[in-house]
Amino acid sequence: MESFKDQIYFKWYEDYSVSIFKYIYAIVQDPQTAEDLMQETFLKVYEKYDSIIEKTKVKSFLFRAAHNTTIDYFRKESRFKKILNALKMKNDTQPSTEKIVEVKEDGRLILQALKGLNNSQREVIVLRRIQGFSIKETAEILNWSNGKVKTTLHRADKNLEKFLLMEDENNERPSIVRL
Amino acid sequence: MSDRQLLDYKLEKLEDEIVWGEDRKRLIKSQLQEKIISKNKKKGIILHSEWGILLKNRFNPILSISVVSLMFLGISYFVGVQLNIFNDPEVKQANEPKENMPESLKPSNEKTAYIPPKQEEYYEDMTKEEILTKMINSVDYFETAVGEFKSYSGGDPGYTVVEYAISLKNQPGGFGKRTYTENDKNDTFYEYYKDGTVWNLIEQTHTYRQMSYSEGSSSDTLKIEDAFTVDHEGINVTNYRERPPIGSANETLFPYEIASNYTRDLNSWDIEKQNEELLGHNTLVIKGTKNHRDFQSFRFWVDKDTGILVKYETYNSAGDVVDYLYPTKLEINVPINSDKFTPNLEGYTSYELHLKDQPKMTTGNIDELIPEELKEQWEEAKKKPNETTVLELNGNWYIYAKKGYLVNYIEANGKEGTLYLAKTSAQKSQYTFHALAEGYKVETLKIVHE
Repeated sequence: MESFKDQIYFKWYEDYSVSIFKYIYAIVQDPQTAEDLMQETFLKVYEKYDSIIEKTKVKSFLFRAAHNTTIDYFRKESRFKKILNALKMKNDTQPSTEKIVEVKEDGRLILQALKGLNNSQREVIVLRRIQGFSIKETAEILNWSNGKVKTTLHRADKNLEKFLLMEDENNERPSIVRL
Repeated sequence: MSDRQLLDYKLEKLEDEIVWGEDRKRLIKSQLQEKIISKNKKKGIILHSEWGILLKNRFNPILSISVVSLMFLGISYFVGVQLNIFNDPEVKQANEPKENMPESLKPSNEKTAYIPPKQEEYYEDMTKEEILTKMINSVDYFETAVGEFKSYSGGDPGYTVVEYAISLKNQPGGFGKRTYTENDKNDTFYEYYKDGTVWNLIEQTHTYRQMSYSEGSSSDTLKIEDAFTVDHEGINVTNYRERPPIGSANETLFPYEIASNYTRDLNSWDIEKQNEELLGHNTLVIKGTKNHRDFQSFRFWVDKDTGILVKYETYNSAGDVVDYLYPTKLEINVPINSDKFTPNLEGYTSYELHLKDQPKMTTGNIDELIPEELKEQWEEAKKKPNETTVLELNGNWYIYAKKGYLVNYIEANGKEGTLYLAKTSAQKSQYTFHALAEGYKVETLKIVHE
């Protein structure tokens, strides 16, 4: 029998793990890394259970934890890459995407477009446009001001539009998709 | 559709375009469980179940590490209000009539109720240490509590009203009703506990969850120096007393975390007033500062004989109230009929069953999911890739979209459903896409190629 806390905790996992995975995946775009970071996120949440108190929304809390975990990853990865480059090593051990995640056609296009954004723009787009958080919630998750969210979102939107329009022109997008 | 709208549309659909399977989800969950067990073992936490930390003693003894301290404050609140499971658009008006309430919340015959000893108000002066010690040990200072309060968190669009009744000693049990109101729409969540079982009921979806908990003996009075410590990395560590396994009234009856977060540093607050009457209780008023983005100071009204946080307010730099808890009723050591502590589940379904019953769409290669009875027809469909074929069996719909189209969504209008198929991109126009739609409860499915 699980404790009450554990039941609640794993209820969170049941309810939010898929969204958290997709959020991280859209940011890091590597399925194995996304799974690792999602697991790390949930482990941190377990340990910080008692800080989920001041009427913070659980969903926002989880996404904030995911954001922090992802940011940490990028920082570490950046250092790691520098070391690799210095040693002229090559990391060829990319896991197979197919086994972990399946991305449908339009999704691939969007993910490709997201790659063209910097990390901040990508995060704000994923939280605001894909996960549907409000400006205020997005600001809380990222620990930014509302103004910074709006400005970054505006820039991200412009860059995405540019990318997708170019892509669509290249693909001669069927008019039906325009609805 | 403008390019802007098209972009929004595609972004919104990304969630559906990424498919992360249930098997992966289960795998990660089991890895997570193993890691938590391992971490807990390293910390010396005794496990006596398949995994996890049980409420070993009565409600829960003091655990030595804050990370495993059970945070019942808000647990049920989170389940009901914050887990976003109140998504059913059907809402009811505030101040519902009694007829709509679960049976156990209706006024009941009190003839079997135990009468606890009358609680005496305390009027002597108290020190900061004395009142803080009472707050973190409030479970020791009363037997029953019945009350109502309204709470608001700055920035939230709505407010919460809580009703509760708790019995700690004789026939222990409790119930809570938490109603979150936003734009005249209510989300109501009930919780009950009695005899080792906890029930959570969600009124909007008419679903419930039933869980077990273990009771044991109570722990001793917690001293401030044992409750609030700092580890070798300088991180605050907090120990908590036990309390009931439902959370509706925790922020007032068992304000352990609030005491930890706001008053653990005795230098950050002062006693503003020794005696102030509130709802017939003699309270001590605390005024303190708190470095928070939304507020900078707070005021607590703490019942001097029980340590119950009767009322609180937080203030921004301009002195405006940001968050508050305003009680409308607080009765201590009054008789409660324990019948109130078990729910009437009539008309409610298990949350797990409810989830299973929700519509679900599986896309990709569904060949292995095709039932034997339909296999022949499915193979026939494959021979006609320029036609959309829809097969139905036992309420499940097996969809073979014609070349260049994929299943977008199903719209249900009563028993009539409409299947919308969207064109694929040019690159994928030579492929066929399949889907299995389950749980839509429609008898017909009209096909629309968008």
